[in-house]
Amino acid sequence: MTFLARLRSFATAAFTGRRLEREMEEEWRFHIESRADALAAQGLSRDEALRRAQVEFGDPLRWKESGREARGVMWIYDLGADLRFGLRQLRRAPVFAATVIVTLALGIGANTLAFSIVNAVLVRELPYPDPDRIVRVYFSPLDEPDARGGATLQNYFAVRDRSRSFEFVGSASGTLASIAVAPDDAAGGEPMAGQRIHATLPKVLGVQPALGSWFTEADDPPTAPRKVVLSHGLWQQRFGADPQVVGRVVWMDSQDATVVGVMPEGFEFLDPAEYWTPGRWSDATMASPSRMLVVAARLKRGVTLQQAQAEMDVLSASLAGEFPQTNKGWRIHLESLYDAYTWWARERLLVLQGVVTLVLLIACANVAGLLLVQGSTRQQEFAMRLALGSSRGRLVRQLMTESLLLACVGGACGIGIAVAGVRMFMAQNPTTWLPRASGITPDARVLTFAVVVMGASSILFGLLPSWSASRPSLIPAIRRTNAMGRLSPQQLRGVLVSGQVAIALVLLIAAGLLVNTLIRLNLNRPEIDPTNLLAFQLRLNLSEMVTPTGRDAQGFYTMKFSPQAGLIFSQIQERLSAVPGVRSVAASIAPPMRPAPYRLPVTATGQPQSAGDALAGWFPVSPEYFKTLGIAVRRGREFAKSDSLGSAQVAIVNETLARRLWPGEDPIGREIAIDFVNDRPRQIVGVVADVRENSQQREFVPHVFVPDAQLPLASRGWFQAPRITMTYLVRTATDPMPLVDQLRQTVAEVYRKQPLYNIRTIEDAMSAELTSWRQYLWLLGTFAGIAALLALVGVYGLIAYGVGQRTNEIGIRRALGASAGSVLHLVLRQGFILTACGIGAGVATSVVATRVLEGLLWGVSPTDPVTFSLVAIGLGAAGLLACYVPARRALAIDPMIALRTE
Amino acid sequence: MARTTELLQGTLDLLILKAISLGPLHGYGVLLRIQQISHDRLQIQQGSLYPALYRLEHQGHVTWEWGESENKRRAKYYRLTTAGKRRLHEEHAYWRRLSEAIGLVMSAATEDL
Repeated sequence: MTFLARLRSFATAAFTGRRLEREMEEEWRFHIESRADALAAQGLSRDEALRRAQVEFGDPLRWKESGREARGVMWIYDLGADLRFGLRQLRRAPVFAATVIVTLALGIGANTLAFSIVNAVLVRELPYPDPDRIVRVYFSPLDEPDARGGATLQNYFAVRDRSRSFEFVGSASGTLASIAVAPDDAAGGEPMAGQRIHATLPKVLGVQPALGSWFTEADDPPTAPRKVVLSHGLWQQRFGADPQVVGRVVWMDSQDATVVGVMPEGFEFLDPAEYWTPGRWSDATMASPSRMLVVAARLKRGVTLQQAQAEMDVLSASLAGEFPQTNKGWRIHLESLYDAYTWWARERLLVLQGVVTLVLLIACANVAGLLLVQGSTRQQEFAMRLALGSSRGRLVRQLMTESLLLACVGGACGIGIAVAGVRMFMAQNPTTWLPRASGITPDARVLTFAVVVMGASSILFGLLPSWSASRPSLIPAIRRTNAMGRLSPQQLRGVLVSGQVAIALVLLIAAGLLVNTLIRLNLNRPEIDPTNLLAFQLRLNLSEMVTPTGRDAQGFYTMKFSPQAGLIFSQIQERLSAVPGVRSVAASIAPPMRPAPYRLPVTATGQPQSAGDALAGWFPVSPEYFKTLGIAVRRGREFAKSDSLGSAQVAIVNETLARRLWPGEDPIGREIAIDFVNDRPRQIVGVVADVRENSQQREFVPHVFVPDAQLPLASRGWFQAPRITMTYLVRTATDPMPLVDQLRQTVAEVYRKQPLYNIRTIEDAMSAELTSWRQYLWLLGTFAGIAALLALVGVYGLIAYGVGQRTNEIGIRRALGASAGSVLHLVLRQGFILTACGIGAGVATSVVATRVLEGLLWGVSPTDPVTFSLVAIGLGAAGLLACYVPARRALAIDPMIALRTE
Repeated sequence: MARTTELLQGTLDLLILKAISLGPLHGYGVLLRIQQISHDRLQIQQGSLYPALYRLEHQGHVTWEWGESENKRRAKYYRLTTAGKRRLHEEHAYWRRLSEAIGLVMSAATEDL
C-alpha cells in the first residue's frame, strides 16, 4: 500500500516534474502572501510584510532540493546536472571527445550492423504458425550425411503415406515458366522461378493466401484445369496489385491457367518463388530417379524430432529394399525447418557476430584507456571535490554519467553507421547467398540490441576508469603497486593495450586466413577454361511432337516422337556452330560447375574380382562437350557424332570415378552398368579431368558422362518430359557477348516458342559464385581493419601519454648526459614489451580460436604459419611505429624546457 | 526567545500529522495550527514544513486536493490517509513513552540512584 503510494509519488515526480515544481511554487507563494497579510494586519507596510514573510520562509532553493529528495527523485536532478557538466567537460576536450565517440560509434555500429543481419537470418521467427513443428525431410547418401538431397516422387509418397509421426506431409519442386498477362504479352516471355507444390504443403506451412485461396488436392492430377497462386511481388509488378485478380486467366508457358490466390508479402518456402502451381504429376513420372522434391512435414503434437527420425530410419531401410535404383545407400534425415533455412549461413554469421564483439571489446578497452588518461588529468578536480565533502559514490556516479553520455552519443552515431551499412549491404543483393536476407532491416529488436550494447559498453569502459579516478589520493603515482597488489593506472592501461593488440591479432589472422581462401579459390581453376565461353539455357516444349502410345512392362508411359523432335537438338547445335566467330558448341541438361542433378549407382562389370560400385553424378552430354569447355581428356577420346542410339553404348568417366572403380588400372575398354531405366552396359572410351561441382568443393566427386544421343528422347527431359531445359555452351574466338543477338536469331530459326535465358559468360558465372565470399570477406576485413586501427591508436595513445608524463624525467636524463639512443631505447622498450605481450597472447589464442573457421576455409589450414607470421610481424611493426613517433618527440625535448614544466 | 523552543529532530512529522488529524489544512494552515496549539512556543522554519509534507505524501501518510482558502485563493489542502492515522497513533505512543522516560530521568533526585 505505502509502496504503491511511493511508486506513484515517484512516478508523478519523475514524469510530471515541471508541473510539480509549478505547484510547489504556487503553494509557497500562497504561504508567503498569507503570512504577509497577517503581518500587514499587525501594522507593517505591505512591502515590509512581504519581505519579512520571505525571510521567515527561508531559502526556497533549499526546500526545493529537500522536496525532491523527499520524493526520491533527487538523482534525476543530479543526473541533469551531471549531464550538463559532462557536456561542458566534453566541449572542453573536443579531441578526446571526438576520439572516444568515433571509437564507440565504430564498435557499436559494427555490432548493430552485424546483428541486423543475424537478427533477420537467425533470430527472427519463421513466418509460419507453430514453426517448431515443421520439419524438412531430406535424403543423403550414407557416406555424405551433410549432402541434402531431395526426394523422388516415390520417396515422397512413401513418407506421406507410411509415416505416423506427421500431421501433414507436403512437397515442392523448383520450376520455370513464363507468365503472360495476355496471350501476346511481351513481358511474359522470360521464364520465372516458381514452385510446383503438392496441395498438402499449405497445410504443413499453415499460411493462407492474402487474397483468394490455395488449390486443393483435386487440382493435382494432370487432367485438372491449371491453377496458379501468385507471390505478392509478382502481383504488384505484373498485375498492378489488382484486388480483383482472383479468377483472372494468365498464360503460363502459353497455356491458360486461372489465378486462385495471392500470397502475403514475404511468404516463401525455402527457395525464392514468384508463383505456385499444383504438382500435376502423372503416373508416368512416378518412377523418375530425379530427387527434385523438397519435402516438408508438420509433426503431430507431442511427437519429437527424434521419434520421427527413428521412424524414418526404419522407412529408409525398407525403401532401400523396394527401390534399390534410387534408395540403396541413402538415408532419410529430418531437420527443423529453421535449420533447413539457416544451416548453411549459421557458421559464417556467428563468426561475423563474434568478430564484431571483439571489435567492440577493443573499442571499449581503447576508450577505457583514454578515460584513464583523462581521469589522471582531472585528479586535482576530484581531490578538490572529495575534500569539499562529495561522496566517492557521487563522484563515481558523475563519471559513469559521463561514460553513459559518451556511449549514447557514440551509440547514436553507431546506429547511423549501421543504418548506412545495412543500406550498402543490401545494395549488394545478398539474397543470392544469404537465406532470408530480404528481411535485413534495423527493426525494433535491432535498435533494442544497440541500446543494450550501448549500456553494456558504457559499464565496460566506464566503471574501471571512474573507480580508479575517484580514488586520487589512494594510489600515489610514484608507487607502482600498493600492498594489496592492485595495479596502478599506468599498468592498467598497459594490460588494456596488450589485450587490444591480442584481440586485433586474432581478428587479423582470421581475416588473413579467409583472404587466403578467397585468393586460392580465385586461382584454383585449372579444370575448365572460362575465357570466351558463353552459356545460355533454352526450354524446349515438345508436347506437340509427342503422341502417347501406352505403357511398357515397367508401367512407364511410352510415347512416340515425331521425327522433327529428334532433329531439333542436332539442328540447333549445328546452326550455332556455323555462326561466324563460334569455335565449338556443346549441350547438356545441366550447367557445368554446378552440383549434378542426378546421381546414379554405377557398377564396374565384367571383372568380378575388382568390381566396385559408386554413386556418380550423371550427365548426358553432346559431342564436343569436353573440347568446348576445355576439360582435359586424360585418356581415350571424347564423344563424337558417331556415338548414336544405334552404335555401341559408350561412357566417359572422370578420374575420381576411374580411381574408385579400377584403382591402379587402365579403365579404357572396361564395362560399366549405370542403374538407369532401360540403360544397357556401356564401354568406357575416355577418362577426363575432374571438375568441381562448386568453387568451395573440397574433394572431387565421381562423374559419369553418356552421349545424349544414346538416350531415348523421352529420357532426356525425364521428369517433365516432353518438356526439357537444355544448357548450351558456346566457345568463341573473342568476347562472346556481342554475338548474343545472332545466337538468339539462329536458335529462333529452329525453335521460336521460347526465348534464351540465363545468358552469361562462364567467367561472370564463376565470379558471381564467389560474390558471397567477396561480400563476406569485405565485411570481415573491414571489421578486422577497424580493430587493428583501434588497437594501434591505443598503443600510440598510451606511449604518447607516457612520454608526456615523463617529459621531466627525460629532460633530466638528457641534461645529465644520457644519449639519444638510450632515451629512445627507454621509450620504445615499454611499447615493445606491451606489443610483444599482446602478439604472444594473440598468437596463442589464434591457434585455438581459428579452428572455429575450419569450415569456412579452403586450401589453407587454420594454423597456416605464413598467415600467422605475416600478420604477427605486420602488427608488431605497426606497433613499434606507433611507439616511435612519440619517442622521437621525447628526443626533441629541450632539457631546459622539460625541467621548467614542473 | 525564552518562550520558544527549537524543534527536536524528527518531531516535525509528528506535529504535522497531529495538526492535520484535526481536519484538512493547507501548508500555511498547518503552521498556524501548530503555533496555536503550542501557544507559540515552538519555533519552526516555515519553509521546512514543505519538504516534510512532501515526504509524508511520498510515504503515503498524507494526501491532498486543491481547495479554496478563507481569502478565496487556490490552495493545497492536506489530510491524513489511513496509513497516516496509524502512523500518528504509533508515533504518539512512542513519543509519550519517550517523554515519560526522559521526564523520569530528568526528575530523578540524587538519592534515587
